[in-house]
Amino acid sequence: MTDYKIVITGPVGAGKTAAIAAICDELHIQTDERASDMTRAQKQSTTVAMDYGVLQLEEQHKVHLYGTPGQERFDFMWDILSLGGLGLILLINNGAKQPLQDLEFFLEKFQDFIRDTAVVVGVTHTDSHPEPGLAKLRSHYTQLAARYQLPTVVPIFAVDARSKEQVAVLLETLLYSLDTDLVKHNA
Amino acid sequence: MTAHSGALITLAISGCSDDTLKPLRFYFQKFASAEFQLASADSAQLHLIDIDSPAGRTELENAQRRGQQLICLSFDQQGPGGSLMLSKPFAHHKLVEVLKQAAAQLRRAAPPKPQLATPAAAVVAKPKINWQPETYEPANYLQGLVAAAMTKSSEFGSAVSFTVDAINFVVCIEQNLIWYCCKPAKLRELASAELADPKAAIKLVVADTDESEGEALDSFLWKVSSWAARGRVPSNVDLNQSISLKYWPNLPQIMRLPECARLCAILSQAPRSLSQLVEQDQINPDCVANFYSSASVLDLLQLSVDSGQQPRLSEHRQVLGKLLKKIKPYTQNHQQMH
Ligand SMILES: Nc1nc2c(ncn2[C@@H]2O[C@H](COP(=O)(O)OP(=O)(O)OP(=O)(O)O)[C@@H](O)[C@H]2O)c(=O)[nH]1
Ligand SMILES: [Mg+2]
Repeated sequence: MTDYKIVITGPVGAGKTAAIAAICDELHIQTDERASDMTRAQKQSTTVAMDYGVLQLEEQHKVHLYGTPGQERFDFMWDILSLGGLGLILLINNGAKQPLQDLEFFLEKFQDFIRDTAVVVGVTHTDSHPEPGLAKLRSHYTQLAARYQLPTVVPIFAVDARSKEQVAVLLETLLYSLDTDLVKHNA
Repeated sequence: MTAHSGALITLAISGCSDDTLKPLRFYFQKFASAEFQLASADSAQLHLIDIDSPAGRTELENAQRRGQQLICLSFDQQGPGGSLMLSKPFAHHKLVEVLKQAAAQLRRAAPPKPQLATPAAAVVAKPKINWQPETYEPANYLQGLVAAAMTKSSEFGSAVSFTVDAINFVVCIEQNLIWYCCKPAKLRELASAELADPKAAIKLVVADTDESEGEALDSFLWKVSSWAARGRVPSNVDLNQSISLKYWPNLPQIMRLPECARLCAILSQAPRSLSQLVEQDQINPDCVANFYSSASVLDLLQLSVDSGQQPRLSEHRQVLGKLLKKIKPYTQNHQQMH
């Protein structure tokens, strides 16, 4: 009856809300209420500022998916949110102004969590914005991995966060990255 | 207490709760059984003790009296003077690391005496390699033609076309796209059959790219290569050469190959040979062969040195497994190979 969690992070508009909505059984999502100014944000409770969904498993196990609020001013919450988490899904918006810098920013922020668990990077909006694309993000990751002592090769995928299948493949990849023997022992 | 090189080192585990004992035993069996052997607390050379528990603290005093080499498991960073530490919560690679240190210390204390070594049968032998897959020549299949067309397209700086079985293919390396007009079943048939005359079929002409939407070359090559392989490996492959993953294939948007996510996870974390993937990781040989064909065509693999590194396992296996079971059906809508 233990509860577990997986954290989904990434910049504003990367598709965190979409991904959680695509895959979860139960949703507790707050998108419209997102504060457009600092004052209002501070009045809201922390749960309001993040997305949250549940995947209900057998024997009453549950996995909670937490989407961190994308805006950087909420970054104080990120450490608390990731505490005890199984792993990280990092979504990068390929259509944003500076996707390479976004990748760097989030890897730096979540480096401890990634070293302790595992990360899968999903690059969204590649359908509408081909640049910088996977190749540049992958080679940028290689440099960052050396800098932050992260695993040399991690999954960096192009993904549509609105697609249940594609988000499920992200999750599946995260699970195998955490335990490479999973199937053999679950067969 | 000392150890001789070649002999198994005896190890006792004390003071652990069931929750700790289970993963410990599991990791121990998986990663250390070639070098260590479990033994009783009073006879073991090496003693791993959870010193945070009352039982563990008592056992610690006994072990110190016996002069056993110690590994202390604790939430603290430091144990009693001179003992090796394994901090909680521990990852399997930390356990392997500390066991290695302990073995080295024990062996330093006892110079090797080969004549006293344990009989070879006591050392866990790696299974014999007897997987002998059939081979094929990629150049004689549709995938070979596409590869040739890609080279030409890049040389010409333009799109090129070729025809197989009255079906026209247009390849543009600059846009990384391929255009063709045929049903999936027909394409699969074309891709899996050896071409009667592969050289004659290559007729490259400069062509305009189609206005219609093309297919990404990577995802096209990925599927036609696995269709050509059909459980076989390219003829030049060394089954015992260690390889590792350079980049992950773009799994969410390409055809699913069974076991592919697991194969990629293993090869991204620890070099393996194709034989090891089949014999040691017990992955279906056809899946290994088909994956290899596709991944090598996309240049996702590199030769590597086997450093003895092990891919990772999780203490949360049960819930990870349940989650996998839950999401598997969602991923099945993806184009399937079988
Ligand atoms: N075209 C396209 N749209 C996408 C893709 N992924 C997500 N979207 C859409 O992009 C928009 C932004 O996605 P959200 O899920 O709201 O992004 P978010 O990460 O929750 O953003 P914040 O809550 O502002 O931090 C939504 O309209 C999504 O439906 C994609 O791969 N392609
Ligand atoms: Mg959102």
